[in-house]
Amino acid sequence: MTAFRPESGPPSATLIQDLWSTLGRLESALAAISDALCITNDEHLVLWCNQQFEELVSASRLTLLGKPIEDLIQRLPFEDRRIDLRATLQKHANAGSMDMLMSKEPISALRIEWSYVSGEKPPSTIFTFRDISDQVTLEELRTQQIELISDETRFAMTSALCPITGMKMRPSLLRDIETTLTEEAGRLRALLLFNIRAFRLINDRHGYATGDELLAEVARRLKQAIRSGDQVGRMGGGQFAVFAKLSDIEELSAITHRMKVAVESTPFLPTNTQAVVELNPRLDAGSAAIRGGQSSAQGLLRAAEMALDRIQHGAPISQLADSESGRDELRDELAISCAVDHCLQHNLIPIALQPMVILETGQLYGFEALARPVTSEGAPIPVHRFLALSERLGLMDQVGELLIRSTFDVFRQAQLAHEGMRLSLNLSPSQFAHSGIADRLVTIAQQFKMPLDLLTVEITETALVADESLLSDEITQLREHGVSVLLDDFGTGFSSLNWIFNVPTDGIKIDRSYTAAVADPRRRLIMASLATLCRDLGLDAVVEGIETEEQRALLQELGFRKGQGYLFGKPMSLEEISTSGSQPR
Amino acid sequence: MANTPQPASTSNYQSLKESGLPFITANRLGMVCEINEAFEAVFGWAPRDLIGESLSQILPEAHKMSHQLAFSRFQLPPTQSAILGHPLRLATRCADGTELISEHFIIAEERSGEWFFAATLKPLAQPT
Repeated sequence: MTAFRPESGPPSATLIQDLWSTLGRLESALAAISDALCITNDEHLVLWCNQQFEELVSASRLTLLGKPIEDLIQRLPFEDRRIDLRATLQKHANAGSMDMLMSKEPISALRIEWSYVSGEKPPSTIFTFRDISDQVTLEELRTQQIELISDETRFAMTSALCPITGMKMRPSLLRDIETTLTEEAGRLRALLLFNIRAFRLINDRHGYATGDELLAEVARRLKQAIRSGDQVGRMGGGQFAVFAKLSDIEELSAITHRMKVAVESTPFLPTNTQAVVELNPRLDAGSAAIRGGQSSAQGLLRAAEMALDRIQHGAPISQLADSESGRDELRDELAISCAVDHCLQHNLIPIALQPMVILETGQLYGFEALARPVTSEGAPIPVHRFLALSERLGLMDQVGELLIRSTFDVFRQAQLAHEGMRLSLNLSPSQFAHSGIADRLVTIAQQFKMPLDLLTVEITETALVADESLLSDEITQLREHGVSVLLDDFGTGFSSLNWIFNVPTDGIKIDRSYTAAVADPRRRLIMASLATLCRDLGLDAVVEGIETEEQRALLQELGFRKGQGYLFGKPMSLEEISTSGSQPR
Repeated sequence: MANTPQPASTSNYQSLKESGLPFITANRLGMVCEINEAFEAVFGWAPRDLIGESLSQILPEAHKMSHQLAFSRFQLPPTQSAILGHPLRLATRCADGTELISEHFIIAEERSGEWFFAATLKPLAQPT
C-alpha cells in the first residue's frame, strides 16, 4: 500500500483544474451581484473588481488594476466635489460607509461601504457600491456630506486651479489679464488660444479618464514651453490660453509655433486605456494682440476666439451643435469614430479587391485593394472621411498599418499570389510624414508571405507635398525591395509633371475624371500626350474608371494598355471572389 | 480561384511564433510551456525559471488576483474573454523584478479539447 505524502511533489493537474473551476464559479457568482465590488490591497490599489464596478467607473478591469481606488471614486459624478474621500478612508480605515449624491433631479445616490478582509496580512479591503436612490432623502444626504468636507478641500476650492492640470482656470486667468492690461497701459500684450483638435471625440472614444490624461500632458508641455513672464491657463474643455508680453507683433507667430511644436512633436501614450492607444495631439491656434488700456480682458478674449474660429476648418463646433445639419454631422463623426475604434479593436478593416486588366485582351493581371469601412449599423463610410477622422484622432499610424495588414490578409486568403496576380495598395499621405513606412511595409509583407515583386504601392499626389527627400528615400527603398510605385489619381493634384521627374516612381494611375471625359476632343488630346509621355519615359500607365466599351476602345486607340473600372469588375469582397471567381467580364 | 476555407483571423499560434517578437505559451493550467529567445532577451527570464511555472510569475503584483480569477472563469463554458485577439497595453514583470510596458497580443486555441494560450509581448516606449 502506498501512503500519501503531501510534500512529495507538485499538485496534480486534476487538483489544479478543480481549483480553477471553483474560482471560475466564484467569479461568475460575484459578477451576478448587482452591487459594484472592488478589492484593493493594503495601499488601496485595485486588485480585482466585478463587471458592475467597471460599468460604474466606465473603464475596463485591466486599466483599473493597480490604480488607487480613491482616484477612481473621485472621478464619479458626485454633486458635491468638495468631499475629501482620501481623508475619510484614512479616518475610518477598518470599515466605514458614506452616502453620495449623484443627482438631485431625479434623486440618485450611491452608498459606498468598505471593510478589511479579515485574516489577511497585510489586509485587503473590499469596497461595495450600492444604488440607494430610493432609500434616502436629499436632506439626509446634504447633512451627511457637509461633515465629509475637509478643511484642505475647502482651501482647494478657493484656489481656482484646475484639478486636472494644476493651471489657473478661465475666471482667475482673466482677472490676472485684466489687472495686467490696466497696470501696463500702452504695452503690447497678446492672448493665444489653443484648442486640442477633436478633443470631444477623444473623450467619446477613449473615455473621460483618457481625456483628462491628455489634458494634463498638454498642460505640462505648454508650461514647459512658455517664456518667463508669460502665463498659461485652461479655459475649459480642450482649450488653453497663453497670455504673452510682446515687444513686436511679429513675435506672435513665433510663440504660436513654439507652443504647437512643444505639444505636437511627441506622441502621447495614455495609461488609462485597455487597448494600446497612441494619441498625436494637434492644436488649432488663434490669437489677438492689443496695447494695454485699449480693451478689456473680455474684449481681448473675444478677438482671440474669433481668430481661432476663422483658423479652424469649417464652422466652429459651437455653431455646428446649434443647427440640425451640425447635429447630423456630429452624429456622423461619432459613428465613424466608433467604426475606427471597432476596426482597431478587432484588428481588421474590411477590404474589397477591384480587378485590373489588360485592355486589349481583357486578361486579369491584378487587383487594387480598397478599404470598405462600415458603421456599426452596416452603413458604408466614405474612405476619405474614415481616414480623415483617423488622422484627426491621432490614430492614422495604427489605422494605416491595419489597412496594410488587412489587405495582405485578404490577398493571402484568396490565394491570388499563387496565381501570379499583382496587388495594388494605397498608402495615405500621412504615412509618409515620418520615415520608416518602407521598412514597415516590407516587414508586414514578409509576415503575410506577400511576394514583394507582385506588390504595387499607390501614392496619392497629395502625399507628395510632404518632405520630398524623405518621400524619395522611402520610395527608393520600396523599389529596391522589388515593390512598384505608382502615382495615384494623376492629374487631380498639383505639379504632376514636375513630380514625375522628381520622384522615382514606376508609373501613374490616371484619374477617373479623365476617363469620363475621354470623348471630349481636348481631353483626348491630353490623354494621348500622356500615353506618349509614359511610353517614352518607360513609365507604366493604368487608367481608372473605365465603364463603357467605347471608353475602352478609345483608350486602347490612344495607346493605353492597362485599366480598371466597372466594365471589368466592381470591387469584390473575399467571399465574392471565392464564390464567383475574379474573371473580368 | 481559392475556394478552400481559410482561417478567419490573421493571428494564430504559428503567425505569433513567427513574428520575431517576444513570445510565450501556456497550457490549460496556466503553466508556461514555451518562451522564445526574444522573450529571454527582453524580459531576462531563462526557460528554466519559467517553463512549468505559473504565468503569474510575469505579472505585476496588482494583476495576479484578477488574472487567476479571469483565467479560471474563461475555462468554464461558455468561454468568454475580453482580452483575446486584440492588442493590450500591459505591464510585464521582468526577471530582475522591474516592470516593462509592452503590447500583449493573446490568443487561445483549443487543441484536443484542451485550451492552449499563446501571446506576443512587444516592448513599448516606457512612460517617463
